[in-house]
Amino acid sequence: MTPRPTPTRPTRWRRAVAAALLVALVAAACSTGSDSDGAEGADALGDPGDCLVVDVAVSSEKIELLTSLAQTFNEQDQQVDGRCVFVRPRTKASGAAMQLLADGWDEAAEGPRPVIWSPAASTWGAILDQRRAEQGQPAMAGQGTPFMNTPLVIAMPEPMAAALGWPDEPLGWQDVFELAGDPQGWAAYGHPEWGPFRLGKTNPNFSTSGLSALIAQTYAATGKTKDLSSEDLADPAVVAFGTTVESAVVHYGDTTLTFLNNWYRADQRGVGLTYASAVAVEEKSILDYNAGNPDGVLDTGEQPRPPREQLVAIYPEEGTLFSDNPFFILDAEWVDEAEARAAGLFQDFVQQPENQERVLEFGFRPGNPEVPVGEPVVPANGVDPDQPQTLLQVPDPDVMVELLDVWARQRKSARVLLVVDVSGSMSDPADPETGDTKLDLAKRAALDSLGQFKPEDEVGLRVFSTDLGPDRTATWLDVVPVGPMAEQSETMRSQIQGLFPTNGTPLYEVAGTSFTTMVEGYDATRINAVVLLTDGVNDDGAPSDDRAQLDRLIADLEAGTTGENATPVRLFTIGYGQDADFSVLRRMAEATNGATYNASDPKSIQKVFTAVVSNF
Amino acid sequence: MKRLLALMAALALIAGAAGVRALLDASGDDGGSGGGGSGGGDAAGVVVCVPEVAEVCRSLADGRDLEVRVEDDEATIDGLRRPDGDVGFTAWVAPAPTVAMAVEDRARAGLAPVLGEPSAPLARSPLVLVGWRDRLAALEAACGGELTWRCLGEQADRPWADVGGEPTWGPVKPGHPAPGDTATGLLVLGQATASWFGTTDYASNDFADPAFLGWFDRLESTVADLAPPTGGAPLARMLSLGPSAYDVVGTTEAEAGPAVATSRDRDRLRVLYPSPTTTVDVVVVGVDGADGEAGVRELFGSDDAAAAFALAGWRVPDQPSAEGVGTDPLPDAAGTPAPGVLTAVRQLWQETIR
Repeated sequence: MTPRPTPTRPTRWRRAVAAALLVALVAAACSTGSDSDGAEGADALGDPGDCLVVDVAVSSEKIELLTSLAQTFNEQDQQVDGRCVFVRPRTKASGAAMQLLADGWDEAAEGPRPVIWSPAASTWGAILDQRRAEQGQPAMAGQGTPFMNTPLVIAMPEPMAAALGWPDEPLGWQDVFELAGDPQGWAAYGHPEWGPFRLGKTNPNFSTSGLSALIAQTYAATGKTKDLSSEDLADPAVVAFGTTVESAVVHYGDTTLTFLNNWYRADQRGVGLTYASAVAVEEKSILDYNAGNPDGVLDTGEQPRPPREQLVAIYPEEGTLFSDNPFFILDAEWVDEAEARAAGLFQDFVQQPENQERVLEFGFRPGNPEVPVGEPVVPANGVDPDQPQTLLQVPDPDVMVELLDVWARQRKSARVLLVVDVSGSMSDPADPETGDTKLDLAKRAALDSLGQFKPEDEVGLRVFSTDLGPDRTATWLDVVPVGPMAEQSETMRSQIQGLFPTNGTPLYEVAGTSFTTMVEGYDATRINAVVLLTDGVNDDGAPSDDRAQLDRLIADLEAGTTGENATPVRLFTIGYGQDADFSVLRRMAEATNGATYNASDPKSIQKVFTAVVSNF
Repeated sequence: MKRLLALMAALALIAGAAGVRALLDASGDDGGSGGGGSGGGDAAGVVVCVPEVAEVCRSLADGRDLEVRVEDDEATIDGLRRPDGDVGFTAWVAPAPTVAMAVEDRARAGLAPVLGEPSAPLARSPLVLVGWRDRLAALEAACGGELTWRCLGEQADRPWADVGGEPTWGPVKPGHPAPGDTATGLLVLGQATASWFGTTDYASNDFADPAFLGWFDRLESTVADLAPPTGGAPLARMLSLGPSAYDVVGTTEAEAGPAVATSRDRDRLRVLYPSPTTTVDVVVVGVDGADGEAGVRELFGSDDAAAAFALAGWRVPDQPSAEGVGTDPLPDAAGTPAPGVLTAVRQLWQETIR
């Protein structure tokens, strides 16, 4: 195909590109959770036959829409050089796709190399081209065409927003700061029943929303909209602002869906206002939530039910950032001229007004400016199509490094009990190639995750099985009591390395006692949590009372979690291997407004452990 | 001796530039000559087009043995610096000042000319400002009733609250295409600079004025900071993302008129024609001795080309205007600074925002 020009732009114009590079690399390296990879879209489209295939790599939030559009497009029998065109979207996390395109895309491991790439934001294309330029290679992405847009906002239950003056008063991060620092919490606004101000923010090392929120709150502390500097980050007032905002965080994590699902469940129980007061999310997530579909995906048989309390979008008056979901027709060696033309046909197709109207169904704003922003992006659904008013500049790369470093120090400290299953089944082989057992892989993942804790975090290690202890009657042992990482990091490492498999799986008992242990030592200035890893079902030698035991456990977990005076300890469960009791683990986690993680493939445990620890 | 040679070379360059300028001025009637006829049926070769006219070029090449290469003007000017004169294309369709810059650039390097005589303007488009009505009103009030680039540069990056707007609008955010590699961006910046000096007859030695440099830096630093991370057109970004991206953007009427007329926000937008009026006049120029260059020039002077330009938002005599494109007469002269001055503006811009 005809090579695109690669104009030489002066440094200043490349600033945003270079700035985004580091950010994206951080996120890409750890991309997990909702932005997972898969071929579900492609599989739904059937066999392309002899058609010219246009593979499309898309970030997960738009796979359903693009698969649907591809289906319609494929039925139109559009042709290039006499061959029908078949478009085949596949999910690929934005950061992972960027790295593959920059470093070499292994088709055997990653699926077909894309002709079109549609990441979450244009900055990803800029990052790719920047990385290629550093390697002396020409641009591959070039200028993208925005497919659909959504801004980062602060989601807040309507009654809470109204208490702050919404919709008449412009609100923003300054309001979050003031609420987070007020010991009266919501009582200062006449609502003591709502308890303290609780903020949901994802981990900026793992989530684009979390990173955007961190940038936005830091700009708000400075009063600037661009040129964030190292001097700004060192300003005591800016440091205090950040520390205060972080002090209100419920927990972090790798995806906003954890917050939205927990919020929704709490809302259905009538206690939504005491789970979280505000969460930084994309605007489209508010529309999904208010439609009764908090994770944006309707499972088979699931009926959307609107929440009791609608969320509203606060467009920070200090400014915000957009995700524009561009289409890049790649100028790559594997894309021939016919494929590029075929890709152009699909790009034109998705820009057609009738197809751009479909992005609205998914809660996004059309990228084609000819298509009006209408339902559901309307005030009745808690959002404002006339907002935001100001965009923020992505900071310089060196400032971004410093910003993440500063955040790592000032983020809310954690108090975490790691609870690891050492039952006999953990000795099952997990990797035939290496001979590693499930416990071997879990130990390695746990050891690697320790680096994510900061010295001020308090962490302990508990193991569980049956017949433990000197008299072989215990069901769990605290091999490292909860204490400061600064003092017991090495002890943790050696104890994890020394773990070995034993007998049964007293899952319910240890879940309950671990929760109680952490509630008894609850520290309101920290994120209090239990991380429980298990590979099996409850097996305590007395199966007859299992059901009653589980019901009691769930009731106890819920009782300790809800209400304005609760001492919330979050339970994060990891189902490990094919035999884990995933439904029970989900119930236990949801009862505490925590989250459950699936590591049914033991080789995924490293990735999963990293995602779990991103909550702290 | 060296000084004498340098002086002679400088005189030759000035004479060359004056000749090109005279050629442009002589051809600057209202709307271009067009050429007439529906020839060009056997046009063949490679035609290089600036992105601003890419769609026109592609539509004319359709069904012909004519390859279209779309590239920014700076890339073409770079290619034309080849000493051997093997530029790899047949003809170039670009704004007249851009062609003149390339000619002068090559002459300054002491290289033999490779381009023939540019055509009369094929199509014209005035430079405009597109902005949100409420923000334009506030700016006009702050600027004493008329929004000029000079005033816009003075207000750039100032908090809206200080300019008579809403505090939630953030700072004043102007934009235009990148002057470093796009013809439109450079011509907009040339117009803005003319606005500061109050005349298009300024020279690079005027740039030494500290007051001018301060204004230039304020305007262009702000524009650069707001530039889309992947490049691309600021107007498209403004229309797609709304007023959070830009308050006001400078570009051609050909780009802005139809886009604003069909925009979902057309009722919230206004198009202004800032003073001094500047038009982007598109010409075709053949490569001397290239096979088929006469055919390509004939094609771009045809009625088909005139219709294609008009359809794309350009003003062409005796052609219907596209939606959103004005019909009021344009001045005969394009109102652009001399080619050498535009080159100097580009260099100043590169030094300023580096």
